[in-house]
Amino acid sequence: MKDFKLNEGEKIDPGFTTPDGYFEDFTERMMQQLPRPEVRVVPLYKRKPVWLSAAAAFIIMLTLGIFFTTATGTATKQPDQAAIENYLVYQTNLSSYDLIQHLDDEDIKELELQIVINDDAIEDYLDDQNIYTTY
Amino acid sequence: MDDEKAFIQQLLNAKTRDAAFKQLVTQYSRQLYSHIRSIVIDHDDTDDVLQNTFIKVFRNISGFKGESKLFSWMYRIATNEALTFISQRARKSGITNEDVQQKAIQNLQADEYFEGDALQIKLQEAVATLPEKQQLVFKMHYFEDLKYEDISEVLGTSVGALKASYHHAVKKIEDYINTH
Repeated sequence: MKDFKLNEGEKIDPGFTTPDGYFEDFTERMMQQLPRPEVRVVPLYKRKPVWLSAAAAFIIMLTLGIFFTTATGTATKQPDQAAIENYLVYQTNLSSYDLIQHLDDEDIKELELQIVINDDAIEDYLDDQNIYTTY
Repeated sequence: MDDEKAFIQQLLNAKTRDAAFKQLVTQYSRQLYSHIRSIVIDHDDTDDVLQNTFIKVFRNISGFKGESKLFSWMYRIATNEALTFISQRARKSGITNEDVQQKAIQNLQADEYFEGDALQIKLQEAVATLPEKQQLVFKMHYFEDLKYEDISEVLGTSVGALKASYHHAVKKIEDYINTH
C-alpha cells in the first residue's frame, strides 16, 4: 500500500455538520442570553435627600411611638369595669348567686343608685317568672 | 482597522450595542464554531462552549485594548474556553485530557452531526495523539485555513515556530495513519 501523504490528493474535511438552521437559531438564542447591565445601585449614604427624609421619618415615628405608649400605657394595664363584668359572666363558672354572696350593703346601695328599674320592667320580669301578685 | 474601531465603539455604546453584537455573532459564529468543534469534537459541547465564548466576548469587550484584531481576540477566548471545557470534563471524570478527546472521537461514528468516513475518523485520532499546541496549530492551519500570521496572533507564537510545529504535526499524523 502506498504511503499516506496528507498534502497529496484532496484535502480531508473534518466531516462535522450542524443541525439545519443552526447558525440562524444560534444568533437569536445568543441575543436572548446576553447578560443585561445591572441596575446601578446608589448607596444610601451618598444620597443626602434620602438621608434627610429617612432621619425625619425616624424622628416622627419615634415621637409618635413615645406619645402613644405613654398615652395608652396606664389604660391598657387596668381592664375597665365592663371588661371585668364580661369576663366574670362569660369566661368563668361563677353564677349570679356566687356574685351576690360577695356583695356587701355598700355594693347594694351603689347598685340601687346605678340601676334604674321602671314599673313596666318589674311587671314583665314577674310575668316571666310566673310570680303573680295582687294589689 | 478604522472600521473595526468604529465597530468596537458600537459594541461599547449602550444604544448600538445589541445590534452590533448581533452582527458580530452572525459574522463570526461559523468560524468560531468550527474552531471549537475541532477541539471538543461533539456538537452539543461545541454549542455550549460557543455560547460561553460569546458571553465572555460581550462581558469583556470594554477591556479589549485593540492591540490585536478583534477576530484574533475572540479566537483566543474560544480556544481558552474549549481547552478549559476539556480540562473540566477530564477532572470530573478522573481521566486525562487526551482520554477525553479520544472518547469524543470514539463517539463520532454515532454522532448525528458527523458525516465522515473511516479515514476522517482516523485523521481525528491521529491529531488527538499530538501535543496540545501542535494540535491547535494543525487544526487552525489545515482544517480552518488560517494563515500563519493570524495563528501567530491567536497563539502568541512566532510564524517560524508555527511552521515548524505544523510540519512536525503532519509527519506524525502521516506516520500514525500509515501504521494504524
